Amino acid sequence: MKSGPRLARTIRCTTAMAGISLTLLWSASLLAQTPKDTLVVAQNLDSVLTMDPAEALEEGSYQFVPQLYDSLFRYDASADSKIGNGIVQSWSMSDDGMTYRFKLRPNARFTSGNPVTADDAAFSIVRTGLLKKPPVYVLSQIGLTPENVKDAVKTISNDEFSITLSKKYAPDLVIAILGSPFTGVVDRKIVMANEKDGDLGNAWLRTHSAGSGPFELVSWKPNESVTLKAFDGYRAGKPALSRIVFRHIKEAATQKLLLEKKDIDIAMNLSPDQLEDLKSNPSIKVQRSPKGQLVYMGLNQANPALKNPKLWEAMRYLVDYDGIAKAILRGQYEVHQSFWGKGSWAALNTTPYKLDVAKAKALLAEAGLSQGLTVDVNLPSGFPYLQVGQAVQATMAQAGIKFELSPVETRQYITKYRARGQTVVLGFWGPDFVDPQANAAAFAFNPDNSDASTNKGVLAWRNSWEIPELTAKTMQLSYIPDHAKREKAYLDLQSEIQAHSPYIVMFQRTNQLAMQSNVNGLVDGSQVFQIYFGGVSK
Amino acid sequence: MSLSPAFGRPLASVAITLTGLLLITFVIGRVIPVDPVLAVVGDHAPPAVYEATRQKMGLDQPLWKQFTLYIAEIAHGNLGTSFVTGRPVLEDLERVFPATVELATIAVLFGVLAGVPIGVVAASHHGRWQDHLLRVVGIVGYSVPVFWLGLIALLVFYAKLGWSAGPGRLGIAYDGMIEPITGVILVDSLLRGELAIFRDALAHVLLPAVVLGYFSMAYISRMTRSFMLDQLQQEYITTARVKGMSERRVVWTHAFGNIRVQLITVIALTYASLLEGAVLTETVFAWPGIGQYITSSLLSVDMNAVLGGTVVVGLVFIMLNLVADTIYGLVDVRARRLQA
Repeated sequence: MKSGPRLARTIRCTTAMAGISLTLLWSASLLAQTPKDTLVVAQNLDSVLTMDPAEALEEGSYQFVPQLYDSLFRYDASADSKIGNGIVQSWSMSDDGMTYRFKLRPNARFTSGNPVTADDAAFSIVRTGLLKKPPVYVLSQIGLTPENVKDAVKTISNDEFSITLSKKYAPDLVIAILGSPFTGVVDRKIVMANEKDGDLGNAWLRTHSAGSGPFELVSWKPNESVTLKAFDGYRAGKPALSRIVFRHIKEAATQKLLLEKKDIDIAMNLSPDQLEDLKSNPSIKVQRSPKGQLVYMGLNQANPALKNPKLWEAMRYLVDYDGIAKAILRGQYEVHQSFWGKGSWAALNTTPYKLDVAKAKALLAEAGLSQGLTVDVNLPSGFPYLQVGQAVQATMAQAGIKFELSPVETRQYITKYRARGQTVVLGFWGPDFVDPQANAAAFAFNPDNSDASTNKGVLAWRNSWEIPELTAKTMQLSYIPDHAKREKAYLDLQSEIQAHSPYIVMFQRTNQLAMQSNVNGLVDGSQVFQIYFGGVSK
Repeated sequence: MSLSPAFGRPLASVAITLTGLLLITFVIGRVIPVDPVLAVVGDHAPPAVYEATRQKMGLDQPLWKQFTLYIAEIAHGNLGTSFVTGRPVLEDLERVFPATVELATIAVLFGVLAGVPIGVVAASHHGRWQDHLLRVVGIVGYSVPVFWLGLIALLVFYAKLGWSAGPGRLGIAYDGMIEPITGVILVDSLLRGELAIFRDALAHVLLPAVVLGYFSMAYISRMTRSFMLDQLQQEYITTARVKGMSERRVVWTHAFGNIRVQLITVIALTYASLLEGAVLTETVFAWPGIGQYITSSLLSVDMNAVLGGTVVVGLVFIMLNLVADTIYGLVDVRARRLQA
C-alpha cells in the first residue's frame, strides 16, 4: 500500500507551493491608496433599508437620499445652517396663508436625461402620500394625508405647482417639512415604467435611483457596499469625484486600520478612544458637527412611584453631566438639557442642572422618598447608553435611587418601549424634520393616553404622561405665522419641559467623521439626512 | 434496479431534517422579544403604516399557518423576499454564500495541510519536546478568541508589515469589476482570465483564511494526534516494527492508513462548520459572507432571510455527510464492500 507516503509527499509539495505563492504575494508591493477620482467611505451599513425617498425615514437610508435626489428645500451650509432652496427656485404664499406656489429651477435634468418638471415634483409628494410608508408621518404634520394629498397638490405649468393645506400652518414649518428627503423629486416616467402591482415603482426604487441629485446609484449590495457614480448633468455642476464607494465595515477597529493605511478616505463610526488615538496622526483630520439626536431618560408615569415632580427634579440633580461628557463621551456627545438640539434655530442651550447630591436628597425628603426606591431601566446595550447608564447608576445610588439596568439589543429596547413595558428608559430620540415642532410633538404632545392611541410614536404616550393642556398648547405652535414669536414660544416650551416633566434630557450627539487630511468639502448639517457628498474633493 | 431504497431513504431523511431545522428556527424567530415590523417601518412610523406592514408580512395569521405557507413556498424553490430590504433572499444568498465558500475552502485547506502533519508528528514523537511544542500551538488555536486574533493579524500583517491586503474581498480599484459566474472571485477571475483580480482576491483572502484555518488546524491536529496514538499502540504496529520496517513506513503507511476514515469525518465536519460562516472573522475582515448575513438578519428579525440562510447551512451539512460517506467507500475496502 503506497497511499501513505504518497499522501505525505503530496502534503509536502502543496505546502511548498503554498509557501512559494505566499512569498510571491508578499514580495509584490500591496499598494494601499484609494483611486484619485473615488471617495471610499467605511461605514456600518446594517441599517440601510431602502433607497426610495418616499420610504426612507431611518438614519441608514436617510443618508443616501440627498445624494441621489434633489429635494424641494435643503440645508444650506453657507446661509447659517438654515433651510434654503433646493430644486425650488422661488415660492410664494397666498393671502389666506393656505396655498403655497413653487417655481422650479430651469434646466435641471434627471440622470435619464428627462427634464425635471413641476409635474415630477408634484407627483413625488403625492406618491409619498399614496405609498403610505413611514414618511407619511412627516406629511401629516401639515395635514396632508393619503386621502387628501392628491387633491392638495396641483401642477400649474411646466415649472410651477402648488400645495393647498387645510389650515394656516406656520410657513417655517411647511418649508421645513418640504425640506425633508421624501420631497426628493423622482423621474415620473422612469418610475412609472417600473411600476409593479400598483406599487408606484417602490420595489424598483428601493434598489435603483431615478433622481436629479449629484449622484446616481450604481449598486447597493446589502451588508457589503453602496456605490454611487457622479451625474455629469447635475444642475449645480458635476461633482468633483466621479465615484463614491461606501463599504460595509462593521468593526470600528477595522475602520481605523483602513484609515491609517489610507485604504479608505473617511471612517464614519470611530469610537472616542480611536479618535483620540488618531490625534497624533498628521494625515488624518476629524470633522465635527452637532446632530439632532438626544440622549435622555424618561420616567413611565404609569408607575405611581414615579409621578412626583419632586422626584423628577431630584433625579435631574443626580446625573454627573460634565463628568460623563468628559470621561465617557469625549466629544461624541455634548451636555444638552432641552428637547431641541443646538445647531438648529429655537434651541434652548441653557444647562441649569449639575450633579448635586445634597440638593437631590433634600428634594427626595420633600417628596417623602428619603428611604429611596428601586427602578428597572430599559436601555440599548450599545455605546453610549450602557456606559452612561452605569455612570448614572452610581450617582443615583448616592441618594438611594437604585437603578437596575436591563441593557438589550436596540430593536428589543424599542419593542418594549412601544408597548409601554418599561419603568424608566435611558435612550435616544432624533427629530424627523428640521423644525422644533418635530420634537415638541414628541415630548409635549399626547392627545390620547389610552392603549388604543394612534400616536404610539410620541414619547409622552410611551411614558404615559397625560397632558391635555400641554398638548393643546403644543398643537397651537404649528400655526404661529411670525417667526420670532414662534421661536420665543418654543424656547418657553423647552424651559417648561426642562423644569417640569418626567424627562431628563442629558446629551446631544456630535458627529465625528475621521478623514484623510486631503478630503475637503463634505457638508454635514444638524440632521442625519443633511449630509452632502456632492462638493467633496481630494 | 429500483432507485427508491438507495435514494428514497436519504431524501426522506433530508426532508425531515430540514423541516425540523426550519421549525426550530421559525419558532425562535417568533419568541424573541423583538417586533419584526419595527425593523421594516422604523420607530417613528404611524400606526396605520405599522398595521398595513404587519398584515403584509403575514404576522396577523396564526403561527402554524405562517409556517405551513412558508414551507409550501420553500418546496417550490422560493425562499421569499427579505422583510427588511425587500430583495429576494435567494439573490442575497447567491451573493453571500460563495464568499463564505471561498474563505472556508482556503481555511480548511490550510487547516488540513498544517493540522494533519502536525498531528502525525506529535503522535509519533509522543511525550517528547516536539509533541509538547505542537500541543501548545494547538492549545493557543483553541483558546484565543478568533476576534482578537483577527484584529492582531490585521494590525501586524496589514497595518505594520504591509504583507497582506486589507479587509474586504477585493481592493477598491477592482470593486464591481468582475461579473460573477460562480460568485467565488478566485474562480471567476481565472475563468475570465483576469489575473490581476485573481491576485488581488488571493491577497485579500489569505489572511482571514489563515486566521480561520488556524482554528481548524488546532482541532484537526488534536484529533489526528489522538487517532494516531490509538493506532500506534496496536499490536500490528509492534509486529511491523519487529519485522524491521522503517519508522516512517510504520507511521505513514500502516498507522496513518488506518485513521483516514476517521480523519475524513473530522475534516468534513470542520469544513461544514466553516461553511456556516464565521461571524466574528467575517466582521473583523469585513467579509460579506453568510455568517454576517444570518446574524444581521436575525438582529433585525428578518426571518425570511434567517430561514433562507438556515436552509443553506442545513443543506451544506447534509451534502458534506453524503460526500464523506462516498469518500469512505473510496478509501476503505470494508466500507466499499458494505456499500456494495
